Amino acid sequence: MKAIPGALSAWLVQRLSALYMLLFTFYALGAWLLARPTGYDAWRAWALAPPMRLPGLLFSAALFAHAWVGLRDVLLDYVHPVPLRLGALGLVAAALALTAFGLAPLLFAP
Amino acid sequence: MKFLVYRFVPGRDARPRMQRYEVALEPRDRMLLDALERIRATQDDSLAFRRSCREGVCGSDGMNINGRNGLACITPLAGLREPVALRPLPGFPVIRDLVVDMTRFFEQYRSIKPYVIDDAPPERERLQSPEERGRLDGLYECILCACCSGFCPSYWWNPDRFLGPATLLQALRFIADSRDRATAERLDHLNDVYRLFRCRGIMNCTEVCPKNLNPARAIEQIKLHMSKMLI
Repeated sequence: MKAIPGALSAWLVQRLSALYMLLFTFYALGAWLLARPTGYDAWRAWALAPPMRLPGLLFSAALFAHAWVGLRDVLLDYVHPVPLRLGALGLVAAALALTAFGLAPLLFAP
Repeated sequence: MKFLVYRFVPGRDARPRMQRYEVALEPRDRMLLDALERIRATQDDSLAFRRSCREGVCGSDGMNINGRNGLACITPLAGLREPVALRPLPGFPVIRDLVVDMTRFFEQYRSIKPYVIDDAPPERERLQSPEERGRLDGLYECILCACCSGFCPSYWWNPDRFLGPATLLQALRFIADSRDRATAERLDHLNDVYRLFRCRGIMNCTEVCPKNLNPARAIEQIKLHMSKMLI
């Protein structure tokens, strides 16, 4: 496979991440219906067990990638002055990074 | 029948205004263009609008009719809510009244090289199978009236950089042509965050196309052609 050139890469990331999130939603719903965890400890154990952990991590990565491409698109559409756009893109990147930083202890819990 | 028509001459008028007309139609006045001609002939010969073939082929009389873009010559007067509000194509610079400046639109059309490119032409004619010819159906019929581009919010926000649905539909017409040898170059030209990828797929273009074409689907097909080039 060749390197994905230009703007197509962002479009593919958006479409593929959306597809993965849709499939994960069905998978997680099915897994939840089978396990039916009750209480915080049971939920935590269910979410951190191997059948959910890696798919859940990939879901988080897909969510962040999807959010980045979507918000970047909104800014490209509507914010035309370059300094303002760069500032807004920086704010979006910082917000996503902070959210990921906040989620990391949960996602990578032992 | 009552009409409210956008009137504006840039450089002369301070701001646009909506002028009210009430015109007595004759039995043979069946389409909106007939009514506009009637207004111009009987009430106000200063009213400016474009027209040519008067049968939905030339694409000259694209305008916003009661909030929706369409061709005046194939829009039946029966069924139009009164007063019929007529405005120029949204997002296009106004030259006068309902006449808009299409210069940028046609520059964008030229930018996609709207002709078959084949540096090594055959000895005789370029043959096409019926299936190959069939891939052009739904594309070649576009008359470049700009009703779709003038109804596309992505084109309103970025008219100088997004090519818009009409031009992109025309781009696919040549990408899909089996006789063309410049597919890779065409796709490479379109692989740009602005030229193609400002489309959000809201399908206003498909909704208003007076020729019942589907520019939104054409844009998705261009993206699929690009994706296939990767494999």
